[in-house]
Amino acid sequence: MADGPLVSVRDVVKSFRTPDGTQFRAVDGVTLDIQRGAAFGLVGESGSGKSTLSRCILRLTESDEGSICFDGQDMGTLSGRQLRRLRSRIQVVFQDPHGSLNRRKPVAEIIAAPLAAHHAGSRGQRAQRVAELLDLVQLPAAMTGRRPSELSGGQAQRVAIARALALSPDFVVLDEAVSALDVSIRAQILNLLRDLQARLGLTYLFISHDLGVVRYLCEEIGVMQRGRLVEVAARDELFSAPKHPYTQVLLDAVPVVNPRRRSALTTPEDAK
Amino acid sequence: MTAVSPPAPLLDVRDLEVSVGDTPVVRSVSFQLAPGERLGIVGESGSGKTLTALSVIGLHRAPVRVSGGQVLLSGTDLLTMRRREIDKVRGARISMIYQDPSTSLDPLITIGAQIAEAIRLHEPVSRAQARNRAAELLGDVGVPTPRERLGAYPHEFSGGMRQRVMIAIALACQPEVLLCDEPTTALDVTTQARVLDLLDRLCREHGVASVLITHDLAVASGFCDKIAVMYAGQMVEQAAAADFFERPAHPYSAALLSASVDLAADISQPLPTIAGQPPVAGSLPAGCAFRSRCPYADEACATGEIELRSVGGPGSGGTQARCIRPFTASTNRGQHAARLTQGVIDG
Repeated sequence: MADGPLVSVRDVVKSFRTPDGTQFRAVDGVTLDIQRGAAFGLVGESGSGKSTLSRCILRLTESDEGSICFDGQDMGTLSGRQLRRLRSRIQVVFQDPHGSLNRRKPVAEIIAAPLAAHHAGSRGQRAQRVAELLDLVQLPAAMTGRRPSELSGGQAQRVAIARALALSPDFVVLDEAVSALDVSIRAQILNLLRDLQARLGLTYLFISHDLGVVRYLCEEIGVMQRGRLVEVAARDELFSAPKHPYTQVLLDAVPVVNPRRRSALTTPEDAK
Repeated sequence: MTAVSPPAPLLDVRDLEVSVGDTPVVRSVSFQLAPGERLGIVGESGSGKTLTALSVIGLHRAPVRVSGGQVLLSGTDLLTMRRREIDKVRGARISMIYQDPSTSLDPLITIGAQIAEAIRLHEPVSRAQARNRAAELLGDVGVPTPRERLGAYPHEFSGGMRQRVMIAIALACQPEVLLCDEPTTALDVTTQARVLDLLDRLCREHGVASVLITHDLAVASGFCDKIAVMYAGQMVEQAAAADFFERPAHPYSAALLSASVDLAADISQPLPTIAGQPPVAGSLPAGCAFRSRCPYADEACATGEIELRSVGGPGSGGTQARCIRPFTASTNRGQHAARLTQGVIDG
């Protein structure tokens, strides 16, 4: 593996044409680096360009200008075959777990789909890998025959995570991956994501409108506003001393449950 | 001191039961609301929050039906009213706003006409008067240049502005009670803050009592005087907001609070979670509905109907919990997070 950041985004621009014919710059000259093994959080309000940027990084959409390098390779210059090989190392988990799973297929087939697409292993090896993956996301082996409609939101999101991990990727884009989940389930999935990152050495791009969740998972955070990255800072810095006025506005708007209660409940010495 | 009897509540919901077919999905829900008071109903999806609100205002649709209880508005039971009577009450004395303003506004009718319609349904005013009132209301909810915006269609407004329009419609006839079902869930965080500020100001200025339904404890924390927690179709705790956030009495409430990730959360440890899943309506266990997930449950929790009862003890205020051994002011709360993180994860 080469040194340097795993993902390098340089001056990326992506425009869309609006119905009245004007150009709208959804991503307007963004530059950022995501270090190996790090969880990079991208926050911003709807329309700020965070999902468009992630789609450019995933190459689900072509950027108009700039370059995106993955592990030292400029993805824009790769041949179809090279890009395909690279793609197995980049995976994504979306917001709506039920919407992103094929509802006609059983769980085992859903999780094995990337393996089949990349012709990885024999049928028996794939079944073995599915069992490992279920274990990794803490789902019982009995889930293999279930269909998505028989899963709760949390279970479905665990299946989506298992599928994303099937090809042992280096980099996982989590696009609002916990936003649709209930409070208690969200906490479970956040714990799982943190645990997987540590165990597998994964690099995350975690996109969310929820600053509390980003604070929990990400060491480095970028703030987007109207297509621009207005601030990038380490977690502690961003939350204690935000530099950009827009970051301050965002932080001020976040409601807090009850700071006093919080410290009373989770005192570090008896939390485990 | 002479004992003063408390004023009759404005809204008094008693033992409300809502069923889908023959399966009760909301059971023995009771709460009171004094004029100007704010109740937050919190809980996770499927806990019965929205069905409770829809039944209170009579907007539930088959196969959902109200199978028991009373909804008294100034002493009159809305549940026994005829259709035409309740149509006069709804919108005029009690109204509701929803999560998604884009689906509750008619895309083919101008904003001004939709607000004016709400006014003219209940008040004998001319079109011109209704239009003037509509402009005033739009201005009140913070829509800039309201008179010019009357002719705009919903799609010409942003999500936050559409929710302001919904608030204008809901408050058009100066109701006494406003039900808000996840009013800011679809909005961005800065827009959410502005809409909550607006609701806060309008409810205060007009003395409107409100019920805020939300899954977000932080939102309820900033807005409400009282909190009710719903779990599996029942209210498992009711308390003054200050007491609730300081000393939740029901183990489920405590678990929900500690699983919330806000900017003050302890991020050095795994988040406390709740093992297992809520029971499915129709196959509720005997005894406490939360017991299979509760780290404190034992055999005593498995039998009989567990009532909502006063927690008692010093410092507990008027807190009520549906639990035979609720946490009290003297409970060592430091230990709860540890108890909660244990157990099988089955999300």
